[in-house]
Amino acid sequence: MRVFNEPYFGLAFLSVLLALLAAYSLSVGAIAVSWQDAGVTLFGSAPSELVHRVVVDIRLPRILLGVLVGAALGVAGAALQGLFRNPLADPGLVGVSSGAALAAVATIVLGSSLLKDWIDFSGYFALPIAAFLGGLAVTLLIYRVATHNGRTDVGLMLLAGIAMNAIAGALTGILTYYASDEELRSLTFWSMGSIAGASFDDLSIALAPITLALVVLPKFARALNAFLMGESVSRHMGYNLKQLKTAVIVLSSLAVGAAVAVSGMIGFIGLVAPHLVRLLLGPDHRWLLPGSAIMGALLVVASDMLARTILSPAELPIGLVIAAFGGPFFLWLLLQRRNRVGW
Amino acid sequence: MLEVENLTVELEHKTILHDVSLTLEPGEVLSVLGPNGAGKSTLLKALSGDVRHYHGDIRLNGRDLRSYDVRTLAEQRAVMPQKIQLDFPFLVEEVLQMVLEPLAKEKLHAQIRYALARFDVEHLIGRSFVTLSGGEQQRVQLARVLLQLSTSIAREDGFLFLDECTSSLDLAHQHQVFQVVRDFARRNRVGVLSVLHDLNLASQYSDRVLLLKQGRVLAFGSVQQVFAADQLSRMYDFPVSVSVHPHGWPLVIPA
Repeated sequence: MRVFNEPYFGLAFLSVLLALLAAYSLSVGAIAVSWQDAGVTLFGSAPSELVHRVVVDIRLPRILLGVLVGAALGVAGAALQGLFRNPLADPGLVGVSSGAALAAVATIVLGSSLLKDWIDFSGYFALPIAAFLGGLAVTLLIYRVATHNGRTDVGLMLLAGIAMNAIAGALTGILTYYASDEELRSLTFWSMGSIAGASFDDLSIALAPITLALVVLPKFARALNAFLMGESVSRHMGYNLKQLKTAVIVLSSLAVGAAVAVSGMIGFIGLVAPHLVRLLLGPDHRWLLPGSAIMGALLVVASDMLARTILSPAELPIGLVIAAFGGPFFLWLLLQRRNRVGW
Repeated sequence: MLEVENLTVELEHKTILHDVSLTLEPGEVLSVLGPNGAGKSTLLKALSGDVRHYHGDIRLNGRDLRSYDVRTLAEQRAVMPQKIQLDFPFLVEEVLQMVLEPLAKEKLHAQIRYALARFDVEHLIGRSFVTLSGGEQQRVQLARVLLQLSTSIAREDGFLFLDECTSSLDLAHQHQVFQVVRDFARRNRVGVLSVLHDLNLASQYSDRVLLLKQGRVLAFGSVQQVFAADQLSRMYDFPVSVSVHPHGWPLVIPA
């Protein structure tokens, strides 16, 4: 029923797979670099200036950002699914990502006018903070709409997500009329999701909030397990629910906000990664949370490799590649649900 | 000891419980009986700490219920709800591992096996919880609830609240469950309060019985005192007669 009966072994296996894939993807792209050359370059002695620039300045930050963003979306997806007691609670589907993206877009477009004071005040971190607040607002709203008396109504949750996505889409559309040409290009980037222009600056913005979420969320793993049996049951068992809910809502918004701020809207990772990890390691959050982070990173790095190579030398936005796989996966998940008990 | 004095609960401007008073001694089994809508579940919720707005007093081991934090409360009382919905394929062992306790890993595994064996479900330890039958799920959850209490009862008197915990069980397992629960209560000085619909199960396994009707206490006392035909008939607005089981306890039959 599970692929790995020993969860630590499964986690180790996924980590090794991620390391190998990330290293290999240094050599993949429009400009051919052998993996030996890529390895040598990484440790300081590049065979040529061009190879150094391609591997260290372009591909390395991009891959590292892919790992970070994937881990953030994977762990946030797993945590939100625990909070909603349902495996369809993906940050993209329920509108958390589009809330974060809307806030980020507003910051870009209105940064020189309406929100000038805010930009001057927060500078470098204006974008991730705005994205975090946007994501947080949507998470709170969806939770309020979909959860009543300790029960989550999945239908309401998904419908509220549709509403949030529509509202965010409309507002983003309106903002495009205020945008300059240059801003318009970056808006397209937000709506499709991309890690192509990744820089070490992006990495430094996203690193702290995502690391915080990755480190702290697993501390609530046992509480999330009990929470799946219902609010009152887990309270009767002695778990502190207020603390749990606050932590999950804030930390997953933080992770999603940071990911959106540097990569735009990348959907489905938060849906697909936890589901695959449940098949490999089971639903226990002690393994599911770290496993989903690693799996999310794997999926983003792998999709990014595809995005770079399918139409080489042109590149696809990674969000499109993932949606092309994620959409059918979502349908398959619904079919599974129809035919079987439990996720 | 659990003491309830003049408990009154109002939900959405409707009074669900009026002036309910009762005591639950360590080691005894108390059954709460009553027709649908009598307030049995609300009573259980108030005692479990789920209903925070009530008038009157609820004291657990001498301390006001509302002054407990969830963690300390969980060390002194466990609650078995009627139905637990778990949609994710946890193994039975993982369900029992959710219990919050300070045991070392090897010791916990042995305790889990023991808890499952009590209810005849040890062989399910490696099965996925969602694939079990309703009755098997109920027995696994009972094992979990007893495990929660048995890790901490040494310190204070423990309490166990059961809400129709045998609703999905066959005849043999209904009796097995109540035997196990009664033994557990006696041996560990745990007070058991059990909401039930089956009058004859209550008659056979309870020390005392509380009858509720429309939120008020109709009778509270030993099985022999409470199981009178006129009283039970009045409670259900349905005629019943009470005879005697070959082993001595009252036997209720629809008249």
